[in-house]
Order: sequence, then structure tokens, then C-alpha cells
Amino acid sequence: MPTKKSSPEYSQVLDRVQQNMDRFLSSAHVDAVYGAPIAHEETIIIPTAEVLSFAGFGVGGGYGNGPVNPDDPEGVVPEGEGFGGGGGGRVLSRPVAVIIAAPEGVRVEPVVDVTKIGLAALTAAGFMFGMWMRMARPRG
Amino acid sequence: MESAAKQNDWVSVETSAGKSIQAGGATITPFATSLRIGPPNLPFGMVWNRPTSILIQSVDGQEEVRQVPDITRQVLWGLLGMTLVMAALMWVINRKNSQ
Repeated sequence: MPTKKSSPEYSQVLDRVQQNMDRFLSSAHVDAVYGAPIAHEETIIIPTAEVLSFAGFGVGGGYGNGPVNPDDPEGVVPEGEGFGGGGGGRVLSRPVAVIIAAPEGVRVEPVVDVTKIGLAALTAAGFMFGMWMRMARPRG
Repeated sequence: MESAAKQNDWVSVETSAGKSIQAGGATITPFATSLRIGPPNLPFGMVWNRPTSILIQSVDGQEEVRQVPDITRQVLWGLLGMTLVMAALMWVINRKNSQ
């Protein structure tokens, strides 16, 4: 039985996947993290962000044949094939700082994500409390 | 766009400069670092872009590089370090008390 992985359709699908991966990986450039400058009177503001993106693709194919139909006088073996694929990804972005260029000079103002820090602090406190409770428990 | 890269087959770190921006009497050139993970024969990839610094060139020719600080990340690393130190201290104290 010849494998259908060598068929042109399968190669096309794989080529398409590779093209998409190459295009995705080429998204790593400066414009992804520095936003368009915003002018306000004599001040120019440039937002900056950290961008994390990931993607994955998968393809698969199958080929098979079935039993010969006894009513078919020619005795043709029924066969079929199919290909399928899919992909997914996610882009996470978080503001890091704002660059402010004013007539009196250029300054970089950090952006602090208080919610994220608060959640991390609560998690850390919960972990330490749990550990302390576990250690304070008398051993049997 | 200029760039400097370190890479092997499937991991690469690249620092690149963006287009210069004229702002007041200064020219600002942004720099960003990207980490790319893309195994050659696997249909999976990850790209992490982050701003690193800006180069400020004033009209009189002075140049200054200013870092773009990520305070949130620094605080998160600090919290993680503090948690690990506290956990280790608690473990040591508990061990001493139980002996």
C-alpha cells in the first residue's frame, strides 16, 4: 500500500504549515513592542509593551480501502483518503513603559501592573502560610 | 533596521533597532530584544519581544542610552526570591526546633 504522505496534497499542506511558521517567527521585530508615537502639543508619547506569542500547527492524513462489493461485476476496490489540519496560538501583551519626549527632555516612565503584583503577592503569602501551618502541625 | 543576533538551530536571541523618531530637539532610536524558539521539524513556535533601551541623540551631538525598566517583572522576581528564602528559613527553623 503506497503511503499517501508522499502525495502532492500532503506536501502542499506541510509547505503551507511551514510558511505560516516562518511568517509567525518573523513577527519578532521592534515595531511589535514600540507603539506608534502619539503627539500631544509639543510632547510625543511612545508606548512600549512586552509581547509574548506562541503558535502550533498540526496536520494529519489517512488512506484506506474497503472490501470489494460482491454486487460489483468489475470488482473495484473502494478506497479513500483524507487530510486535515489545524492550528492555534495566542498573543499576550503587557505594557512595560511609556517614553515621553517633551521640550524639557526625554524620560522613560515605567508602567506598573498592580493587579499582577497583588495576585503574585497573595499567592506567595498563601504558599508561606500553608507551609507554616504544615510545619506547625504536631507530628504523630 | 539593524540587528545583532545569537542563534542556533531552534533558539535565537536578537536585538534590533527600530526607526528613529524625531521628538523635539532629540532623535530617539528604540531597541528591542526578541527570543525566538522554533524547532526546525516541529510545527511549534514562540516569540518573546520586549523593549530594552532607547538611544537619545540630541542636536548638539550628545548620545545617551536609557534602559526601559520593567518594574512589574522585577517585583515579581523579587517576590519569588523572597518566597523561596522565607520557605527555606521556615524549613531550617522548623528542623532546628524539632531536634
